Amino acid sequence: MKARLFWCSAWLLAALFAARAVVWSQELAPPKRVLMLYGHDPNAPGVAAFTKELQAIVQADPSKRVVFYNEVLDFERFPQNARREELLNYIVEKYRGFSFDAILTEGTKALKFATERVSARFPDVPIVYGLAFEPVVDFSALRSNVTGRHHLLPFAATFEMARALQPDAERVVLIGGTSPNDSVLLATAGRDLTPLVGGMQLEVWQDWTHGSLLQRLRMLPPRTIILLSSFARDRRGRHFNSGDLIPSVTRWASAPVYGIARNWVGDGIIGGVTMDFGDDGGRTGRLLLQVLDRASRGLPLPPSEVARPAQVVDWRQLQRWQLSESRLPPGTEVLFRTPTVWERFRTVILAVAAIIAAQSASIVLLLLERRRRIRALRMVEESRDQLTHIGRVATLGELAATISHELRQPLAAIRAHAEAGAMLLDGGPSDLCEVREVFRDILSDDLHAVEVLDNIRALVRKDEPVYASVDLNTVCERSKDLLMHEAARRGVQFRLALEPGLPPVSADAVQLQQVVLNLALNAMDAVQALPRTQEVVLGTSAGSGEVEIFVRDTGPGLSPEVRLHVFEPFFSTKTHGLGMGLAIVRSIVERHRGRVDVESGEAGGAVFRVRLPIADPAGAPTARG
Amino acid sequence: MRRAVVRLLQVSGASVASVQDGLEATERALAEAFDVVVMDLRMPRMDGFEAARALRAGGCRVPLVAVTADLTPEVRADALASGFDVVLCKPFGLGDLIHALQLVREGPPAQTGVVSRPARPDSSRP
Repeated sequence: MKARLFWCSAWLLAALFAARAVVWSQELAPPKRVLMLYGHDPNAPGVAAFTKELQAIVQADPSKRVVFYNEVLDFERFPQNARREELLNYIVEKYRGFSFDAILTEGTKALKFATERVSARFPDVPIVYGLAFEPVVDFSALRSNVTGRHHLLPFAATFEMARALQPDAERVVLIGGTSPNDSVLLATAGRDLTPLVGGMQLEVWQDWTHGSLLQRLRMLPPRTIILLSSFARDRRGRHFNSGDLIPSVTRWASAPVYGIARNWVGDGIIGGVTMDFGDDGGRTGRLLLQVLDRASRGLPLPPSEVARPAQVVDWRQLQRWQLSESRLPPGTEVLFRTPTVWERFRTVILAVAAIIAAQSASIVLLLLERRRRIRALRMVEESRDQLTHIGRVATLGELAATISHELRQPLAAIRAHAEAGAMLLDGGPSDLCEVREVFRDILSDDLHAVEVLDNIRALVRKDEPVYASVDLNTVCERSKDLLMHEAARRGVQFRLALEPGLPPVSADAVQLQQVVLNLALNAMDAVQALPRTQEVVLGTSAGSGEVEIFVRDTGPGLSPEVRLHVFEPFFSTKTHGLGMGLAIVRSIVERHRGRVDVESGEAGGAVFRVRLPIADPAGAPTARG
Repeated sequence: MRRAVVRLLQVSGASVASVQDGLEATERALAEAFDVVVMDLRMPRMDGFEAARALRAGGCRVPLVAVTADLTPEVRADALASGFDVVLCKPFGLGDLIHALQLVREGPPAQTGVVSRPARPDSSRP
């Protein structure tokens, strides 16, 4: 057991020591030294993008410490071959006694300088190259300690894209600068395009100053493809960085301009099949790390790579020149596309649409609800009218005996007069004056009968309410005969107490008569319950802005509890009836914008008061159901 | 109505005395000799029922004829119980009246009578 514990402890200690040793070895390992030779101005946009991505990849792994020693050869601006030896000597002197793990070159000329001159002074140091192009260097002839990435100039592919976008183009203009490198690239472009142009006119513009070039570009017919190559120097020897010309050229040109560098896209060219210098920097950085690793272990270097160009266009330029996106080759990357309103605000649009839809649905539902409500109100209105009419007919039913009496009186008189008249005539020569009087009496009684019938017919008819200026005293007078007879029939004293000169109200006279009859009959019902002096008074009075009908009785009165419910439908303290009479009274009064109350009389009994607003002096009816 | 019945009776040859209400009818019928008394059941001051009872109580034996526009079995029974001999329902004719009196007296038609004014609420109307 002790032995096992010992061995376990020993293993643990050994493992901890080994792990710590690895960390120490990393911390203590010397950094890799890389001599960086720039063939161009490091600040040129393409070179800067290359360096940025390269550094990002190389510095990404802190365990692999790489230190760059930069030398800017800048052969584009200083192409004098005679100075190259001096430049080499300068570098050799500068780094005497100093060793490099790798030499990294930017640009084709820097690669040539490294392989032809520097490599001899730093033998066996591996060389890695980037941003190099085929026609300047024969990459197949490089030694085994040289590897890197180079581009095949994509003029032909870019031209094919341009022709697809401009199928009606009649002319191709190739533009390049006057530097040696410009010339090489322009010659390559001309060589690549010549077999492709077919019947189109191919022009190569090289020997121009910047200003004259822009002037000439303005004159080009629109059916022209302009393909821009490298332009490092113009005819006057003025130097330009790669891509410096793009904004001015594309602004002045009267036809679309294409190019072969991705970093030019966005400055005004349509696009093309492009070399991506930033991407090239990143990939060259990975290759450098592999080279450093393999070289330290004595392994052969990884093989050279050929960069793959990418089809890229600027969506804004397609719109400017009205070129159809559908003509682009498959797989083309479209940059700077302005998102449509739908793409930019899809969420907001959907939300707003949802809200509008919800609101619309709510509005529709509310409209439907309103329609249903109006229909229901109309039905309620009709039902109320029907109920009012039924109540009126029921009231007349209560008054049937009185109505019969009212009619029998004139009919009996007419019969007696007629019989007497006949007997007068039968008895021989008659007093014509007396006979005339008989007929007059018959006529008078007949008119009375008609009056009774008209009054009853008005109450029975089921007409729409007619609002007009109505005198409440007239309404009471019209009800008087019926109520007097009914009171006499019941043995009740009934009298009117009308205040003369009442202002009129806007009302339906028939409905108001119904109110008067209901209240009076209700009062007669109440007083009949008592054996003592029974009296019902129907009266009117004028108030402030309103007039009043009151019905006072000497009945037992109403308890506070009954007063609370007396106007509710189907509420009754009587043994007969449905209890709808006073509910109908309230309904009618409220439709006339009035109110009805009940209170105790001064000498007992109850007083029902109906107050109605005085009619608008202008004559417009103010009361409606 | 009273005016019409008075005229009818007069034209038929009767001598007719007419009064305004039940109380006056009772006083005159008890004071004077009439062959028949015709009264409405509804009259001011004293209705027909009360007047009939008063006449019978006062010893009046002449036929009492009640006229009414609201004839129901109950009204008829009350009227007969009050002392009326005949109850006529408005409208009625002279024939109805004579026939009724014949039934009461089993003799010739009455030649004289008193007609009381019916209890109409509108006193201006005959």
